[in-house]
Amino acid sequence: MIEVLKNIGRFLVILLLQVVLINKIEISDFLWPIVLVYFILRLPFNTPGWILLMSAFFSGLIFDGFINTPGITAFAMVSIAFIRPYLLRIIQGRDGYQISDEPTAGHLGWTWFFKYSITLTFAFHLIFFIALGFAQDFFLVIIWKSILSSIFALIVIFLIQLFFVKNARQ
Amino acid sequence: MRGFLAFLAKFHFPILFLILQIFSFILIVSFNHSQKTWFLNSSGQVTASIESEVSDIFKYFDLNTQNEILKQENTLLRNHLLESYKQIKRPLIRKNDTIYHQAYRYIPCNIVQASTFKTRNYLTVDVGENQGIKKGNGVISAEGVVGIVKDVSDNFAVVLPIINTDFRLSCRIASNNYYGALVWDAVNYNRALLNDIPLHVTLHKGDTLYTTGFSNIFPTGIPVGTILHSDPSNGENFYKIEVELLVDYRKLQSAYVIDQLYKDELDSLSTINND
Repeated sequence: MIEVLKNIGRFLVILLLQVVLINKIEISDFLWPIVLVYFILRLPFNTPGWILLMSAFFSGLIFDGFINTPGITAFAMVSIAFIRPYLLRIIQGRDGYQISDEPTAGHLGWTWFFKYSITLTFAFHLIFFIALGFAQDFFLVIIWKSILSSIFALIVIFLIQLFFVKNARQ
Repeated sequence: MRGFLAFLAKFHFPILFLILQIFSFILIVSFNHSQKTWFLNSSGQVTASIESEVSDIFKYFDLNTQNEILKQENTLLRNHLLESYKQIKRPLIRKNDTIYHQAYRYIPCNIVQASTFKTRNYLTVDVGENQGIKKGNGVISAEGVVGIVKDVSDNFAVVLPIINTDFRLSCRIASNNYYGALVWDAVNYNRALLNDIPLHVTLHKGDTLYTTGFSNIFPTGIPVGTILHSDPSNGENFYKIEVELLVDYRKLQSAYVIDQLYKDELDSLSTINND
């Protein structure tokens, strides 16, 4: 129960960060990082599949409500929520995951976290920008938007990891 | 049911994924303007091509009705053809329809029963006295002459086809206008014989035979058959001409009964003369 509340709280904080701060930064058309992915990244390992998908869907839908693009973020969020279990299986270490582990750099090391977050964040931005612009943008434009925005979003995510997440192995 | 539930339990993750993605996609294309336009345009193309394929397929199921409609229309058109009318006044100007009076009436019918292997073959059609069919009416199909109505009941009629040894019909050869009597020799259901053509006439293979209109049954110029080959018959001054019939009685389905509206008048006239 505490775990659930914690995740909901984390979602609200990230949503606030995204809506109040990051969405207001308008440097370029090519730069629209969606830090909201971090919510999916941080869901516990033992989250059941349907909760994973449903929370991805509804978090995406709520964010869509803010940016007035019904369905687009939800589509991208559900996509990466679907990828996540398979990705976790591919990049797992020799011993697999411990029950106490959380999907953070602190628990599983920066190498693992890089693989994990870069893959999902880029996948999210790619799908997000395809869904957003498939009707009018060139594919090359979509690719560039995804790369640049992913880099920015990843920097924010790494900073969060660095300063706000406790290192479990200390 | 239990199997289905087990299936759902096993694959709930991808299934839920697909459901949510479809739902998101519906949201995207229904509430985002440019995506909506794209979706409507491209899906419009896809559905239009599917629609046309499907309607192509369903057209086949509708063929019977369509044929019926076409037949009705043909009947109407034939009733309006000039050759269905008889000119009763011959002034220089055609005025209204007092000049042309309809002489032939066409009634569409279906063949409900047919024999082709006997020496006296008969067809039954699904129109009779109630539809205005009379004994002695001619029957034609789209290909050519079929036969003559022999007996009529309330709703059905028996037709004496060309392929009956009792059948006689005078036919004219298209290229030289000589006419002779068409009879059937009971050999082949799509062959008949044309008699009474004198030996001095030049015949061409493939030449068409037409009705003469002498018998007051058929209008002039309904095709009957084509000349297959001809021999001088033994010791006579006439050819023995083998004719290939245009109507294939084995696959005949629908026909038209021709009502000669002046038949009574013409018949009574010839009876007076014969007396």
